[in-house]
Amino acid sequence: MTSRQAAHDLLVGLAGRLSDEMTWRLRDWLAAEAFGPLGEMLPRELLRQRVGLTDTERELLVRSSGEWGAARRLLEAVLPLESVPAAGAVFAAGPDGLDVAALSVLGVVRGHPGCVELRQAWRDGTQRVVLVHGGERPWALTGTLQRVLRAHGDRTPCVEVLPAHGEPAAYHQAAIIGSAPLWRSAVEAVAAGA
Amino acid sequence: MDDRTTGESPHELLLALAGRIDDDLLAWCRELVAVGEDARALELITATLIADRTPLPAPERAAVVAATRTARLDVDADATLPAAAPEHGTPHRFAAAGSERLAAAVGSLSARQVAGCRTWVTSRLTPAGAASGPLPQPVVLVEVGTGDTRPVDVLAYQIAVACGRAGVDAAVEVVVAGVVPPPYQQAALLRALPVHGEAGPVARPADDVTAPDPPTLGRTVPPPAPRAVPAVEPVVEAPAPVTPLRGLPSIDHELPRPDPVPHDLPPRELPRRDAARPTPARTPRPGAGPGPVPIGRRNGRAPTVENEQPADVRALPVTLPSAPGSPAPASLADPMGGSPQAVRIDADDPLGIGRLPREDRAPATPDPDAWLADWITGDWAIPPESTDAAPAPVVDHPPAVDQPVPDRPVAAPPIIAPPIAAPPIPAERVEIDRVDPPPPRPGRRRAEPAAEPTGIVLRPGSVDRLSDTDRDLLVRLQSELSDPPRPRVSRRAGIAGAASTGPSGGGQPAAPPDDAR
Repeated sequence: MTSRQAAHDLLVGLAGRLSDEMTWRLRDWLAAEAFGPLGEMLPRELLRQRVGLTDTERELLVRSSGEWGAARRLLEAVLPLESVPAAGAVFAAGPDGLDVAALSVLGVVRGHPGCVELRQAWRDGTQRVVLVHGGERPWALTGTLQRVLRAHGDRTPCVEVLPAHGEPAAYHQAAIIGSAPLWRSAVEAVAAGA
Repeated sequence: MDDRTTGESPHELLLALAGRIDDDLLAWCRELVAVGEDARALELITATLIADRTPLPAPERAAVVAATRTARLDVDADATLPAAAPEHGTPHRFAAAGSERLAAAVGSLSARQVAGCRTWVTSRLTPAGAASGPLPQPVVLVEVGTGDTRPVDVLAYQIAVACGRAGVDAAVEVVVAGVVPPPYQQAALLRALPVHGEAGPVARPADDVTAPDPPTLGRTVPPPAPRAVPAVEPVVEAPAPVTPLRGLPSIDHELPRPDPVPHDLPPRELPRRDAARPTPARTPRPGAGPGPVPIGRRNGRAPTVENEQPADVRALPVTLPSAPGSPAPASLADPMGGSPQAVRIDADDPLGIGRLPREDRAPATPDPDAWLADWITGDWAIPPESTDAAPAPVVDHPPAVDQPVPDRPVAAPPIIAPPIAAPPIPAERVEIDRVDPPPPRPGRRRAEPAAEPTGIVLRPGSVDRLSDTDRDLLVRLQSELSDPPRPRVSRRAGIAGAASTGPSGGGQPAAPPDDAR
């Protein structure tokens, strides 16, 4: 696992635990390959917002921020966590129909290699959450979709590019349950049917 | 945090970075600076500049590097920031159009916040930063005086929060009077609408004077003086020509005269609201529509166009559909009687209940007063056997208004009732339709109209069979026949002669014939 992939997995796992305002910026810096600032800012924000990490997540932090020059003192200061807490947010599919922002996201996802499915949910009725299954270079796809959503007025875009297979976190499980499908790859659907 | 003398304060650094990073981050950093968290603001700014690979002019780049060293950040900004690049002006474009909502929000700021300040509003049309928000981006420009001791970074944060609470997320740029602002703020000022303070030149470098002056404030946003009560000048204008009402005395002496004492409110405010009230059947006149409503009317003087509007609206032909037989809606919709088809207001019957316009009467419709004609004929009072033997010559006659009736019964036949003087009727009320006699009904024996219309000839003995009420009625009929034909007042009972007495114009119901005495 590369440091980029480790940072992406860690930032995906921090969804709903770190503030949206800071999360999207950290993901944007990762997409822009600004590793130095990201490696320094990520442990600082975890400490400022008192967000704990599990052992698995701590390994991801060390493999990303640690390799990018973060101070060891900061990495050691991050609070430990036994398990990821349950998601406290409520997700809903929202109104039927796609708005311009969703159509723009759909246009990007359809053209990105490796994407399997696109879903959308509304967290607490106010915040749009975009869920993408699969996709190569997920950190780059995340950064692109975030900027698309910001251009459409979403100040704190929440884009979750999940692996095509695997067990999602509690936050993402709740989001998937409450989401509505927007698109699914035909190739992947045929492969699943075969 | 505010250091206006060194030129390297965090606030001035954020001023120089405006347009280079996204507006959300800029507002966030201004909030952090306002609360004293300069280090975190510098972390965010440096990380964003590095991630976006934003080239900075040499002075700004040096200022960022120096600030990160002062804050003892771990990041080596000098090594990671892109190389310095010269810059001439700003690539951003601004437009004042479409900033009306922001101007209203800024205009509603508290007097304490904008005391001694000049404010402008504009909209940026170009994206800022790599992850720009939606465009156009509202921008508020504030200039504080040199003697103002308030921290400018706190003022910028407070105004930004106030605008956000008003529903507009605006970027707030606070500059100090007498200090040349960065090119971004200069370009914004050139295309901005002033809101507070008097319009005037802003400090700018000597080599950048080719751009036009900012647009004046009078056309769109009146510039009230800060913390000053807006003075409303008395609007004195000649009264609009009033069409005299028919049948009413001249009321020229009762028209309101221009008051030489200044009013608190414009005297034409009420007519203007009435004229602006939509009417469904108003005929549009080309080129006579109301002009655009300027913003900031609350604090400004009403434009001259608004003062001329009532006369124009009054001249517009207004035709409202009036229900048949109900002239009240038409008279209410056009009280001045501007349309020839409109029903004018009568002095004694302003609601038009007591009389009906001639055009509302349908001659082909059945006469609902046929029963009254039958009542007048007196056939109902004659026994069938008597009628069969020798019908009395009864004359059909229009009904009469309530009149005094003598108490004593009618004398023996032939009866020629003496004429009884009817009470005088005001001249304003006598424009009354005449009622034609109802046609004779088939199957009912009715006497032919008598040759002598001034009396009723009854057979001997027939009067003795009448009751007192019938006799009274006959007396009234004879008195009517002796007078010239008099039109009736109304078709409905209860509104004749009492139309204007009741609170709703309906009046009290008239006494029945039996109670006329």
